[in-house]
Amino acid sequence: MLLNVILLTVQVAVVATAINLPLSLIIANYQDKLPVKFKFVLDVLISLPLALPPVVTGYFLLILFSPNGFLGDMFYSVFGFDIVFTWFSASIASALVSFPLIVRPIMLSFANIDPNLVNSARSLGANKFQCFYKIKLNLALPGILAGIILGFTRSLGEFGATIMVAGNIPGKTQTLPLAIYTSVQVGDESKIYVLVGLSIGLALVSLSLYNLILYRDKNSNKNR
Amino acid sequence: MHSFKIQVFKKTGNFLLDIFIQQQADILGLYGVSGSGKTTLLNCVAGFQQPDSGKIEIDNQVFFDASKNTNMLIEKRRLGYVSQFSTLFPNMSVNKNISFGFDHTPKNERIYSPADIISFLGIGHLIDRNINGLSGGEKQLVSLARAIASSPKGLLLDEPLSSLDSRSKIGLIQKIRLIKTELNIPILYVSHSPSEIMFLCDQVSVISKGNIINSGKSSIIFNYDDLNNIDIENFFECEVIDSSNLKLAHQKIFISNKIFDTQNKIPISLNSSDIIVSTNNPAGISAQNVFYGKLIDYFVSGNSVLILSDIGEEIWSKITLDSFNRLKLSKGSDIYLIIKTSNINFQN
Repeated sequence: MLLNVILLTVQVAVVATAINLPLSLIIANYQDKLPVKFKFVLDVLISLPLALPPVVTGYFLLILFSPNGFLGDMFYSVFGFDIVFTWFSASIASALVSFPLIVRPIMLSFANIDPNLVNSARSLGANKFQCFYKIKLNLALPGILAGIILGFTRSLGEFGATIMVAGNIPGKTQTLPLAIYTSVQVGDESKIYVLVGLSIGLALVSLSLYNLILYRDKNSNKNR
Repeated sequence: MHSFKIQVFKKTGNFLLDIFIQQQADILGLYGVSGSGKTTLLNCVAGFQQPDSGKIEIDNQVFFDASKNTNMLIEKRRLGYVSQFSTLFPNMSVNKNISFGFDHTPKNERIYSPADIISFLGIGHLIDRNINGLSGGEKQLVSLARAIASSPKGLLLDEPLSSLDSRSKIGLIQKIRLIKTELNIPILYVSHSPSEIMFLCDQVSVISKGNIINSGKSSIIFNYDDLNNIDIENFFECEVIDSSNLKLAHQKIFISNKIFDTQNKIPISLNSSDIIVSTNNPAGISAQNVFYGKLIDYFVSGNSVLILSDIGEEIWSKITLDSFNRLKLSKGSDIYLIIKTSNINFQN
């Protein structure tokens, strides 16, 4: 039971991060090509999940992905099943809530790349795509890793949006925070301690990795 | 000789760049003070910025032609670019930086291999180094090597010497001259230094406030009043023969008694004004170091002439115009350079 909760939590967080990463890389790569006004609107939209209560985000997702909703109807016609109250809907909820945390460090690290390096690479015969994966991805790697860890960590702890769109079904959509909530509801104290300990442990490991990356990046910048 | 036909019209805010250049040169200099528009022009040639209108053509290869909607992609232009700030990729070693250009050149258009270039520019000792550990001069040399390894149709050098110390400057100038004589690549050289333009460029266009205000042979365009104040420091690394002799350009150079560790090379410098020039092998003189060579090039300005000679190494000397005329010197003249022991400067 406990192992199932942990595996499901990690699965939801991994998929949420996998959804966010390509989108974050595309936005980061093209951010300097956007008109200023559009960039302003994009910045606001990216930050919106940070400002909104996750329950509100979950409510909008529920409307969109319910069988009568625009995306839910489309999903059903393509895949033949409802997406709400599945682990995948928990991943989508986690992806939306954690998106600002993953995209921000990646955008920042791309913005810090000297455009002359990219111009030089192109003058040496590399096309835009080769510049992206041979130069930009390498130089932005610390920011990309930091974004992945922050987003992943946030997904591990996602509660409000997840319970709205995926429910709290043991063995199916019950992630670690939802299991803690249920244990508190039924007063299972011994289980609470284990789950809370696990939650803290996962968060500590993730944040230690994040800080380690920041520390190493700062040191390598000093040596440049 | 290469042909440069550059017509660029570009408006950026209140600044208007309106350029017309049509010159034949091995190295075409683009001279102007900061803010005159020379880097913007170079960026247009490289393809980093797009002109509003005009035509850019080097050696009959059209890179941009607004009238025909031609705007070649940066990577298709294959114009090697070296700027004053290092644009070496910090995530790669020197070797990988140099190979980057080679790897992205179509196989049927590759002329120089990285190994050829490394040997040509004498940077074999740097190839396994990390970019962060290189000096400014070494970074520029590697940038040049990387640009040449892409077998470029031209080289665009944007003030490559401006952030270097005088020793590195002379080293890089000699390498650029070597590229000019050996590789036959058209070079567009941007600088705000008249002396750099004079040493390197046969032709120059002077740019001011976005317009070309003068163009022609650099020695005519620049009547260098400041040449009288220019002294070039020649730098060499000499093998130690014994406590009184070093080896310079396969010859012995005598020094007053100094004890050296014979395992190491000794860096020395010779000021161009401290070298005496003769057309005959002098006898009965106190100076003990006489080097035979050929006069490669010279630059006249006011009452001074800077002479570049080949004694097995390139070396600059400076004499008066009166002496230059009296000795009837010209390119290819046999020449003897006399160096007093007391004028040899030890760098360490």
